[in-house]
Amino acid sequence: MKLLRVPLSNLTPSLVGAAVMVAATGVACACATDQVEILSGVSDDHILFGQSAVFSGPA
Amino acid sequence: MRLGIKVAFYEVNQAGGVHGRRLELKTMDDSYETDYALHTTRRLIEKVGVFALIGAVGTPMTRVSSPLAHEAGVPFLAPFTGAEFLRDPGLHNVVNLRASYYQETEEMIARLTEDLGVSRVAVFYQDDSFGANGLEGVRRALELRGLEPVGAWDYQRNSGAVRQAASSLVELDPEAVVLIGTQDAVASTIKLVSRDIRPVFMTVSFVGGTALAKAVEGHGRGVYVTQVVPFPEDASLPVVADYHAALARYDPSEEPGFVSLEGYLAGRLAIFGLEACGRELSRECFMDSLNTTGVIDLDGFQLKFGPNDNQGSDSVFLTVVGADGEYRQVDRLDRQY
Repeated sequence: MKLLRVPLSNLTPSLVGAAVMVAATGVACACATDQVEILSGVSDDHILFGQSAVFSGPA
Repeated sequence: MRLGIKVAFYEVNQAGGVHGRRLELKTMDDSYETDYALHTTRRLIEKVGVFALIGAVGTPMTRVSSPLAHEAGVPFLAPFTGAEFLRDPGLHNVVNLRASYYQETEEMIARLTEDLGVSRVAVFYQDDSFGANGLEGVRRALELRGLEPVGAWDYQRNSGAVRQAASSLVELDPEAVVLIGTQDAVASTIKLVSRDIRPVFMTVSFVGGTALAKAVEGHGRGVYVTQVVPFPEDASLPVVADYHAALARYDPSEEPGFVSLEGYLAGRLAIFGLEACGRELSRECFMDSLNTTGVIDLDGFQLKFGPNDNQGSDSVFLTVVGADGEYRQVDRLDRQY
């Protein structure tokens, strides 16, 4: 199994199309991968963390 | 928490980031309300598209937000709560940094009974899952010693309505009061009760430290607070010295504090997990590196995780407000405060 990880910020329309096609059809041989994982919050130069917190309270 | 996380991220970014990537933190205000926490967490996961969540604040808020992270497979790192439900080892996306509220309340009751011979303990608590968790911790600790709370009164979250509970506490006149609430509610209750009686006041780490000492406005002497991170002024621990240096560079106007130190440790833990994965980052690798390393030594502050243990630290530190309004770390209770 090959895994293509695509940082969200690097997505192009063609990559999105490939991901949708693979997800929808499971056609693995056509694009040499059978799984596409879109790794949210990670790009070539940054990693994004999120926090839900109260601003005017304990933390 | 936010300040400390940002300080840790700033520190590593100044050194070139993690495997060439800079770390960023997007914080959204949930006003310490569950409905907002649900909204902000969903937005962070689905719209903002974060890699992981870190430092979420509050037991009731994490009760509604952590399932969203679980469903989305998003790591839920170092929430600012000692809630028991997050210590479920089945929650594979949750990594707790700090000791639990049960451990904090056990330490309180141990010290009250062993150091002072106190047996009449009352509880003041927030009327939600946070308060209920703390109350249950006190009950369990007392039960181990053949005791039970002599009284327990709640107040509504974010309401400031503590007068009724304070009045009931004065009428009962217990030897000690354990307060499970936010800093404003805890401070208001201490001020009101202290007009008439002077029990030993003890509260949990959620109140922070510095903020409570200010909020009690001269009534803080002898108030004990259990903490879950080392004393933030004690730079003899290398990680605390690092925190001081990074905080001074990030914002010289900020003072060290318990909560921002916990945030800094949370940030350092995240950095540890990212560094272990190398450039080929995945959430699976990130979680594995945190859960399977065993002992993680953050420059003197050790965290230990295991197959059935998603909580890194079991340490509880006892602190007290002195006559000068400043906190100091102590080993036992003493009526001289």
